[in-house]
Amino acid sequence: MAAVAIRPGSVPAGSAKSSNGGKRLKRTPRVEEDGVPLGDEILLQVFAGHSLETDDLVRCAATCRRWCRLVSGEAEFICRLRRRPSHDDDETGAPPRFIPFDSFSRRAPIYSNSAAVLGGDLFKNCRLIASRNGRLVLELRRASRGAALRLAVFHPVTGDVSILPTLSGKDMPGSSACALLSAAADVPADPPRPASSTAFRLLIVYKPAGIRRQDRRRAPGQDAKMDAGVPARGAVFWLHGATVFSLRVDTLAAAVETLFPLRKRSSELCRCLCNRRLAVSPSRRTGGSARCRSAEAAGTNFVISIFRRDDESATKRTWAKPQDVELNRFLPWWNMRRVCIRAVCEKSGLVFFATGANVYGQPDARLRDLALYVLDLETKEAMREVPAPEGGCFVRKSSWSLYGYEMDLVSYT
Amino acid sequence: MAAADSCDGISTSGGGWEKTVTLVSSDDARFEVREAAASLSQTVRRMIRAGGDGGIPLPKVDARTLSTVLEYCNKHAAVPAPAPESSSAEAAAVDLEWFDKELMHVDLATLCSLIRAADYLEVAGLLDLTCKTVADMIKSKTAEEIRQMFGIQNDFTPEEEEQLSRENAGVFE
Repeated sequence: MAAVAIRPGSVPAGSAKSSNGGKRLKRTPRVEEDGVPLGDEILLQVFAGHSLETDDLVRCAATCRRWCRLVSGEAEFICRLRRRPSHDDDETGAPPRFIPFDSFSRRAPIYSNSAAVLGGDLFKNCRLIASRNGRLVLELRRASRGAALRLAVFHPVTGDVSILPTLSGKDMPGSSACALLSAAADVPADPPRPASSTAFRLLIVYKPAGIRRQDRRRAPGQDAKMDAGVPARGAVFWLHGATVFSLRVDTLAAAVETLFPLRKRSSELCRCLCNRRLAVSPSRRTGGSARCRSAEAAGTNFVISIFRRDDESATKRTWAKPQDVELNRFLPWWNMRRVCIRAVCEKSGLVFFATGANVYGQPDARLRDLALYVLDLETKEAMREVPAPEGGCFVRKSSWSLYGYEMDLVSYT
Repeated sequence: MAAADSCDGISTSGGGWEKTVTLVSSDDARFEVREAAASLSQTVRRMIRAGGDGGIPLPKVDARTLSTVLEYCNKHAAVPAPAPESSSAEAAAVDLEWFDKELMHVDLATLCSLIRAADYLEVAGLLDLTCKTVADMIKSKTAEEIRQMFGIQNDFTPEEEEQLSRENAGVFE
């Protein structure tokens, strides 16, 4: 999207030229008449903040002459500040990291392996797009915004990394959705293959006409990335808005189902698409796909509703709501305006949700989440909160993402 | 810490005495803080070394801002050197992160005075934190939104503006 790269040696020509041939790029007194009570050096530190991307800097440069001079004239300095190693791993460009639970042993090899692998150059700027059965799917992104999709599958416990062939040019997915199939149960083998614990398949659906057609509510130009698909019963399911798109793995037959209709009130308040998640419930592994979503009611009443797909009748798929979980008793009463589902773990039945002080659609400086909670759907107990990683859940374009990671130590040791 | 000598001293909860120093804001408010906390500011640390009575004057920082800065310093100075692999160190880090987030829930004007104070007082951690917070506020905003947020006057000529948007088409939405 951005047409300008700000990096040493290639000062953005547009910004520099437009402020009169560089004459104005000479140092001027510390505070110019732009109304911002911050000196040049401090502003440069702000610009060098890891959360700002090139797009943001170009927009900064377009605000006024002084900012333009700083961004274009000091591009090299900004880049040098940026490359400074950060102690905060939440920044854009930082490798993914694990947020462990209290019960989690730090001796697990997951730390040494993931730190060694994810800390490498390969995983700079990567984005986590799926997590399933102990594997993580990462999209490797290049700063050079190469028009290519490079995916890697990483197993943090064993440390195995597989880099998949790059999809570029004609094969470059505009919008894509993927699903990681690993266990033999996910793929009805025909002819039967030897079930291997190290084998996996990555199913990528891109430019899918069937999904695009359902996509009318989305603003044009928006990055139409969907969550990773959920495999169940030999098919893969993707949730998109109020529809579920399914694809048989063996026959590649596609189908679209409409979900339980949303309540009008909640759909007005809940503009966040990630407040609905599709998952296979742990008690019925081969059963229906349960859909979870949280409804933001008008008051302070937060509920996670669970919808379950009825697989009994083969002809007509229906979605019913057998369960509601009240969240209020887990949450602090103060400062809570929203609840957002972040991840659902299919083996353990845990739901991660984040809380925030602002409502979606309202620009606010406090976009960050306040805390991250874990809810056990079986026992309906919320676990200890951990400070939420930075990022609001509506910024789907950003590199921010959170996935639940489950590991089964028994099967790996 | 060792017993207080010529400096002021206050009793800590541990029963010992900790050295304190007095900082004086631009509007003559006096803050008595532990020396360990005040020393997070390189500026204050130099002034402590230089010595002097009657408190350390900080003419560029008002009382309201200074109290927030000192809140930060007190919290961060209380944390012992991190011992990795220990659960208490991890909990402390989590707590600190939480504290920082809460501290940054202020309006832009306050944030700017905090940045200036952190810069003048040379509190590196606070300067990083505040700059990062402002960067997060700028993120994903249009040029016009940024101008409104900071009250910036658009001093580009229409021709310059047109050239900017032409050359960077796609970035301005």
